[in-house]
Amino acid sequence: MTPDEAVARFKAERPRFERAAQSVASAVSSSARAIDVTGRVTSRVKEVESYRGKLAIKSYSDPWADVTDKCGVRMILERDTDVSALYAALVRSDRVDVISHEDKRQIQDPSKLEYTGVHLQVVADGEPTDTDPIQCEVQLRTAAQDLWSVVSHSLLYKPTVPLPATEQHAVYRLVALTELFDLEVERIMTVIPTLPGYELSPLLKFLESEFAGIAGSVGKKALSVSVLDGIKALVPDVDAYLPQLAQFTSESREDLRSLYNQHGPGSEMSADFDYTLFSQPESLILVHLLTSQPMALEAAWAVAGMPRQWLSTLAALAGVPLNEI
Amino acid sequence: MHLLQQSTKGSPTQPVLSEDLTPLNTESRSFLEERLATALSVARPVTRDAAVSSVVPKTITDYFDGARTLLEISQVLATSMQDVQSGISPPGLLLVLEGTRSGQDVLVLAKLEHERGARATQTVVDGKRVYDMEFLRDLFLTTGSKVYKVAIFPRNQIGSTHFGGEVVDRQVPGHGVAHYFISDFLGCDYTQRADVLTETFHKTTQQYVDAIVDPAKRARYQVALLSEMQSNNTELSVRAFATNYLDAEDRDPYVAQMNSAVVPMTFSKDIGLVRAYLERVLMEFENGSVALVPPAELRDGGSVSIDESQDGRTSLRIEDHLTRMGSKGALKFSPGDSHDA
Repeated sequence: MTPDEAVARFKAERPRFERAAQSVASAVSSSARAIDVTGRVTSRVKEVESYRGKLAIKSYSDPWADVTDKCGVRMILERDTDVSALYAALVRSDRVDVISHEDKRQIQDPSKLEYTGVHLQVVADGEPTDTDPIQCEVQLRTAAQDLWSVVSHSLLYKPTVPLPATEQHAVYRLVALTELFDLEVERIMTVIPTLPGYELSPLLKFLESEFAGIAGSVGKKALSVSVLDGIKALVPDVDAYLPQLAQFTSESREDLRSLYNQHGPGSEMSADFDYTLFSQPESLILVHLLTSQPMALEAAWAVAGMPRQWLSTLAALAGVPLNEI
Repeated sequence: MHLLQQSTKGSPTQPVLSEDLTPLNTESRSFLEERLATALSVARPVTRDAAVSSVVPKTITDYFDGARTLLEISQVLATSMQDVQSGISPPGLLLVLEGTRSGQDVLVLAKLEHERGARATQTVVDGKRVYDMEFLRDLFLTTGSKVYKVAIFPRNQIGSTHFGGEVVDRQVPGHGVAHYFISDFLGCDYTQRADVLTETFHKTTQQYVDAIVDPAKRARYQVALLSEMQSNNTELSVRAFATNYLDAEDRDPYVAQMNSAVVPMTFSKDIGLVRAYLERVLMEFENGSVALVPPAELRDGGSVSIDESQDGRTSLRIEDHLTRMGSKGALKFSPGDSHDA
C-alpha cells in the first residue's frame, strides 16, 4: 500500500477508529473501577493530516500496518502506585487484549531526561464488518508525568532553536520537580490512612452521597466527623456494617425524604438549634442506630457530650423516640 | 386548646373554652410532634371500660364518624375534663389535636400543666447593657419536662363495637390523685392488667438472666431483678432497669427481648402474681447441690459470696451460724412453699 492509499483508507475508516478508541477507553475505565482506582480517561484518533505528516517524515515498509498509534487512550491517575496497579490489572485482564506493554518509568539511563508512564498496545474489540483488527495505544500516567510529557515535547523534542546549557540544566530541574511532586503525593497518600479517624472515611463518604441524593445537601463535614467519632464504637466493622445501612436507606428512602423535606435543609426549622442533625448526613446512621441499638446510642451520645436535644428531636420526629425513663 | 381552671369546692367550675381552632405554624407543629411523640413512647393500650360512665368515647366516635367537628368535640372534652378534676388538681390546658401516625388518622388528647420559667432579654439602662429577667408562669410542654397525661386514638381502633387507643397516665410526683385521666375522664382501662404485666416482666427478665453464660454476671442480674421487684417504685420501666442494672452490651438485646414479649416500656408495678418468686434466689449446681439464698445476703457485705474460677466453675461461700442440718430427699418446689435446705 502506498502512503497516499494508506491516508485515503484512514480517512474513509476514521469513524471505525473512533468507535474502537471509545471501546478501549470504556474497557480501561471498567478495569480501573474494578480495582477502585479513579482517574480521567481520554481517547483520541489521529488527525488525517497528522497521519499524512508522519508518513512523510518516516519511511515505513507498510504505511498502514506499521503505524500503530492511529488511535489512543490515555488515563491520568492520582498517584504512581495507581498507575502500577492499573497496569498490572490490564495486563492480566480479559477485558482488554494486550499485545505488548512497556513500563517507561524504569530508568534505563540515569542521565536521560524522561518522566513518562506506562504504555500498552492493545487490540480493540472488533466489529462484524472489520477486515483487520484495530490496534490502540494505551498510556497510563500521573498528572505530573502527563504535564512533563506535554511540556517536554516543546522544550526538548521539538524546540525551534537548540537550547543552551543553562536552559538544558533548567529543564533537568523541571523534570526533577515533577518526579518530586509524585513522590510527595505518594508519601502523603500513604500517611493519610494512618491518621486518626480515617477508618470512618468510607462511612462518611457513603453518608454524604446518600444524604445528597435524599435531602439535596451535604452538611458540615467537621460536625459529621465529630458525631461519627462519638459513635464509632457502635460500628466496629465499617465494611461489614455498610451493606446493612445501605439496605436501610434504600428501604426507608421515601420516609427519610419526607422527614428532611419537613425538617431538613431549606426547611423553616433548619435554623433551629434542636434540628441541627436534620441537615447533616450522619442523621441517616443515627436513625438506623435508633432502631437497632437505641440504648447503646444514647449512652455513647451522653459520653461524647453532644447535645441530647439534637438526638431526642431527631428520634421523636423520625418515629423512634427516646423513651422517657 | 382550652383552659382548665382549678376546681373550687362547693361550686361547679367551668373551663375557659376556645371559640376557634388554634392555628399552627411550622415551628409549633414540629414542636408538638416532637414532644408528643416522645411522651407517647411509653403509652399503653387501653379499651373502653363499660363500668365507667364517660362522654369521651361517644364524643370521639362522633368525631371520627364526621358527626361533629374538632372544635365541637374539644369543647365537650374540656368540659368533661373540668368536671372530673378534683380540687387538688392543678389548673392547666386540655390540648385536642388531629393528626396522622404512620398514615393513620389519629386524635390526641393531652392534659398539660403550666410550668414556670424565666426569659432574659437584652436592654439598655442608663446607657449600660443589662440583661432583664422576666418571670413566666404560663409555659407548657417545655423541653425536659414530662407529659404525664396524654392519649392517642387511631381511627382504625374506633368503631361501633370497639373503642381503643393508647394512654400515658402517670402519677405526678407529690400529686395524690391517680389515674382519673384514664378512668374518670376517658372511661377506659388498660388492656393489660398491671399484675399480669408485672408477671410477664419478671418472667421475661428471668429468661434473659438465665441465658447469661457468666455465672457472676448472672447472679448480679438475678439480684438486680429481685431488688427491682421488691423496691418501693410504683412503676416498672424496662429501659430504667436496663440502664441501672445491666452492662452496656446487654441493654439493647434485653430491651429487644422485652419488646418481643410485648412488655410495655413503662407500667404500674403490681407484684401480686410474682410474690412467691421473690423470697429466695435459687442456685443449682452440677453435682446436685442446691442453695436457696435471701437476695439481701448476696449484696456486698452479705453472708453469701460467689466467685468464678478460670475453669468456669463457681464457688459459693456461705458464712453464717448453722441452725440445722439433716437428710433430705428429692426437692420439689412450688410457689409459696417454705424450704429447708
